[in-house]
Amino acid sequence: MITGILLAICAASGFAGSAVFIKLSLQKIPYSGATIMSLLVSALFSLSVALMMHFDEIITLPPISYLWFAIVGFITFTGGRSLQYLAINRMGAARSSSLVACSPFFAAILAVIFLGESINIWLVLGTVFIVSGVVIVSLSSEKNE
Amino acid sequence: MNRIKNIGLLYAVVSAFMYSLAAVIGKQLTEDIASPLVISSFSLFFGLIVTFLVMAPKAVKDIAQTPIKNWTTIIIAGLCSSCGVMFYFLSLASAPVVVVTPIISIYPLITIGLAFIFLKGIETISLRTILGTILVITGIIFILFGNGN
Repeated sequence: MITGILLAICAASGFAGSAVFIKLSLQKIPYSGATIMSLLVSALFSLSVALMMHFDEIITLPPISYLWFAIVGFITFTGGRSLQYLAINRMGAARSSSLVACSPFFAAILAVIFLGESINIWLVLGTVFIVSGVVIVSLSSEKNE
Repeated sequence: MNRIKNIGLLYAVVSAFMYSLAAVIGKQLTEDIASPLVISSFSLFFGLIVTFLVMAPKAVKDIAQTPIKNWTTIIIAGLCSSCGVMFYFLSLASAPVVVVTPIISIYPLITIGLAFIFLKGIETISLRTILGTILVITGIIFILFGNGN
């Protein structure tokens, strides 16, 4: 379990690093070009790693798997990200980020219902503290803007 | 004005729901269909296709007009994002969604820390940032404690 938590912290650091370098890039490249370029690099890099490490698995995957991958890609990038950008456009980055930061609550509900995961009081408290902390930081960045 | 904000609120809530749904489906895929690296690479690939279809005309023009020397930071951004997505699915394969999603959600806080280091003068550390950081660290300790029980 600790491995999963450390990997999640690495993932959060990766997303954070990406956000910082995107911000740097936007001083030189327009938004749409930067988005496509960063996604292209991400996709090529991770496809290369996956092909090197799991080539046998990839060539034997059933076709239905690709449909599931497409669904996850669609939900994350079209559903999640595009709606997040639309929300930013309507209500500002800080307020919308505060609301999107509440996604762990939705995830917990869905995970309990569909995956049968269990939660305890420490997980609930931990999630409440983390989401509250992120909301406070997001709203403070709005003040700075 | 209020209507615009209410629609924005709806978009933000649905967006949060979509991210949660992707996490739950991603977790199930890591258990039933493929290894985390395969899922992350193909979901990024399909994400690229969808995004390209939406942004293609303007993006192609922007990329063509950008000098190659300006691509360094965007390549680093793409590599960081790629690592983020790969670690995300690896973490989903190693821990429950209820543990992974709150920890992933701390990334705006890490962003502020990195921006403070790399983008000097753009980000400032306020009292609220410190308070938020303390709450987030406390939350992670609670989650670690919760997994020990």
